Amino acid sequence: MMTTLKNIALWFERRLHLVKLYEQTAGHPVPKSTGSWFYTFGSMTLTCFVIQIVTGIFLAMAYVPSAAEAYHSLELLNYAQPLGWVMRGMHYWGSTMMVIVMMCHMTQVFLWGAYKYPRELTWLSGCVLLVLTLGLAFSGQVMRFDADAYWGVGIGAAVGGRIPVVGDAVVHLLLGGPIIGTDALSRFFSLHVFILPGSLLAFVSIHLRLVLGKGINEQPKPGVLVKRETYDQYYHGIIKREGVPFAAIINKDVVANGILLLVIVALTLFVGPKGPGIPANPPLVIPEAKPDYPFLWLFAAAALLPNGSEIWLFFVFPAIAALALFALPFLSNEGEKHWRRRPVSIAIVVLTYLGVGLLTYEAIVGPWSPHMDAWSGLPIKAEYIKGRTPVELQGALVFQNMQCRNCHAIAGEGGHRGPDLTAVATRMTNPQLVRQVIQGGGNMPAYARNLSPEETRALVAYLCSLHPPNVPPAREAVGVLKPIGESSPTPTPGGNSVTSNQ
Amino acid sequence: MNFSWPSILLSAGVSAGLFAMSGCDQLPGKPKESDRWQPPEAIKDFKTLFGANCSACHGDDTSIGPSISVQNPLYLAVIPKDILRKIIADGIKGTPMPGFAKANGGDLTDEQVDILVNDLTSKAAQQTNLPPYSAAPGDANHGSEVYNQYCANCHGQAGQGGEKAGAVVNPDYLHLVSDQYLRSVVIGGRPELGMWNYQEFVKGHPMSSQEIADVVAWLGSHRLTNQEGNAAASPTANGSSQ
Amino acid sequence: MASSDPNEGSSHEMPPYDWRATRRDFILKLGVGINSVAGALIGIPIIGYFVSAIVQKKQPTWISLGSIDQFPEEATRMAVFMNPYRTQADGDTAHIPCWVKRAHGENFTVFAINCTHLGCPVRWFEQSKLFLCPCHGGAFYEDGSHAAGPPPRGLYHYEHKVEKGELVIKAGVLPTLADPNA
Repeated sequence: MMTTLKNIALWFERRLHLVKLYEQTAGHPVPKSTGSWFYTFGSMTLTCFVIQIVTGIFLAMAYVPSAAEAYHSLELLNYAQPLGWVMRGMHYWGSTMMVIVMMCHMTQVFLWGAYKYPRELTWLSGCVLLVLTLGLAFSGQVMRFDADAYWGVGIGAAVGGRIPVVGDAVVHLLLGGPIIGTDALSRFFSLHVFILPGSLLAFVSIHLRLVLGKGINEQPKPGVLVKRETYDQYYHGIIKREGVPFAAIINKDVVANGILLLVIVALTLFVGPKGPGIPANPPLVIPEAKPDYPFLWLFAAAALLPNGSEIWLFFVFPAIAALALFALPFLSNEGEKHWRRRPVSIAIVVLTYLGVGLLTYEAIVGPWSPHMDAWSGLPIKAEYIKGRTPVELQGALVFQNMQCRNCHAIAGEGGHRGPDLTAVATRMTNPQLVRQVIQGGGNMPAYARNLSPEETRALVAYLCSLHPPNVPPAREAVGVLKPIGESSPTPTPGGNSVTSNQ
Repeated sequence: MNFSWPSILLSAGVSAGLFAMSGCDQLPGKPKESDRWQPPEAIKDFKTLFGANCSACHGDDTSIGPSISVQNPLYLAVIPKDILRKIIADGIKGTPMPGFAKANGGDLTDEQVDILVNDLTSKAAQQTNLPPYSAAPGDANHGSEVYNQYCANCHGQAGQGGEKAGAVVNPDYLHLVSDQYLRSVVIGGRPELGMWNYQEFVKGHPMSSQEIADVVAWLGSHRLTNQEGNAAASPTANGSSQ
Repeated sequence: MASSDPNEGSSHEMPPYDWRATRRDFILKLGVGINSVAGALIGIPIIGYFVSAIVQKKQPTWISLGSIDQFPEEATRMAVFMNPYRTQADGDTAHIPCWVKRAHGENFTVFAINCTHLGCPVRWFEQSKLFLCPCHGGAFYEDGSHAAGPPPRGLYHYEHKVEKGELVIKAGVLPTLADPNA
């Protein structure tokens, strides 16, 4: 019995050379120190990709990549196809987790100095994988062909249209025609299911081939410097001293990947898939159009940067960032690997995460977007209405009716594009308010043409009533300059600091 | 290690199986029919429609609008249903009230306007002998006496504002409101702001329709006929009387 | 990595090979030649297919928005036209909205719905006479000029004329900064 089995095994071995394959892959020697929790992010990214492929294939069985049908096929997946929503959820959360663990992987590789000699190409192929993954995330949100996707493509076209000289051609190439329609969706579909995943597979192969060829980066020791002349021998020495087969240190990877899968499943079952939201029907009035998480920071930057800087944000900055990423292993090819002795690298990581994190937070809050329905659907709290005179009430009506509320909050409710006006009377006097309303400025439109004098006076009368009961409204200081010591007007908190609003 | 492979795999399988059998239908992640997007025309619920379109100016159950409450039962008892419908659909020219019907550039279908009208009128007070919704212009001179009898207690001498309520002869205020609005406020009061209705100003002595018309005429007589001082929004003319 | 060479140990020894053998060289060159021709014949249509969107670029055409009577004077209303280059698969996306401002008589202005900042749909507010963009808060006045926010210019205009009582606009191409159709 045993000999028969052994003979069968040998028959296959003679044809497949599995022992050799094992030696070159799972059995290849790695430093024992790399069996670390910090080294698990790479395999986690790959696991996410596998999830994406599997769920993606099943989604493609129901998805119809046509502008007329895509939204409906997603509704079928959500509501009709048994467990269709689970596939959609796992694909969505798998994509989110893929971006997150990929960023962890990249950060770890950067801080551990693994991009230095002789693993430059490993880093470069990883950078390509980063671009491909983000491309998949973006094209993926277009697949959810709702209003966000439709206007997201529109944003892509508008960005393309800003490229000098070739902008027009880029727009037409991107949309596959003169206007956003099914051709645009089909292009993104081809990208999302053929071009990008195919390229990703190819580059994952190169990436892994390089990892096998050049070995996993050893845990750096502070003070041990990488030198081109000596490193190969140094690494060889480590393998000789403490080398173990890769398969022997995968226990932490197995645990980490198991947890990752459970997280994806839990997010799917308890949070569920995203959307689809409002259908991609252009005449439908939409309250906002936001991209998915990985691109929120870019969305926020587009709102927060000064006007006219879009060319920097969308072209110059990404070009510089890409150049810096690709040039990194050549700029810093040798030397210290341990993060403790690389303060600049730590600063880069901290600043990048702080910047992206803050921008993402801003984008979630979206203070620059008008609250489009506030003017008709958001009442003012009773305490800011009670006790007002008839003309002040009429001013509050002007405030609501003229859509002031869409950009200005009262008691924190309303748009946040302009300043909150809960206590505006303590900051600005009546003439200052009149001037601001009529002339606009500071990113506020001028209302001179749209408000009658009566409406303006009533509106300002109401605004002048907006101050806490114990804080008097701001007063005119013009012409009443008095020597210090004589009863000068008591400055109120934030009093008269109107320059910022002018 | 006390764990053997078979026991680990078995317990994992059993727990996953139990989880699956507990049913996916109750899981919070499963999209519900109610999450499905609905076209705005499909909204047939009064509360949602009123909240999205009316509440900012007219207030709702928990807030006070700067304009009159359209859920005031007395107001609803006085206003004829067809006029209410016309106001919601077409708006009132020259006032902030916009037309909400699609034909007027608004967002509401005829059916949605009907839902608003029907639900609102069902809240009307069951009272008879109410003054008519509108009336011919009254006598301003007599209106002055009517004002002193019913209104001066709160709104002060000559309408200049008192301790309980602000000025009602402010030219800006009067410019921005119609006589019909003034009449509706006098009849229905602003209970949400503490203003009485026409029956309560003097206990046991409700205002007559003519008295209401007269006091509205008197208020209207304070409107500025010339436009002097209105060419620029002069801050000195503000009506704040706090 | 002691044995990373995949051929190491496979014990397939072979005699040295002379790459310059002339007959084989000729056949190889012939093969490369044939494949170059075939490659061009295959590749050119593929590239042509891909870039057809810019080579045979669709131009805006005249489209009727219907009778001018549906647009009240001194008002701005949304009008929806069908994309002239639509296909059956376009579905709802063939409906393209625009804002029609009728000052009086036959004095019209037709604005594209796309914000000049990043293309999001602007919404008209009759009361404040402003177009507001939901994405980054761009604002435009009644005449389409820039009022506030990040847009670099005023709203895009469609060329238009009144013909036999109908309002006709020149549209069908997404307006962008590169091609504002204005």
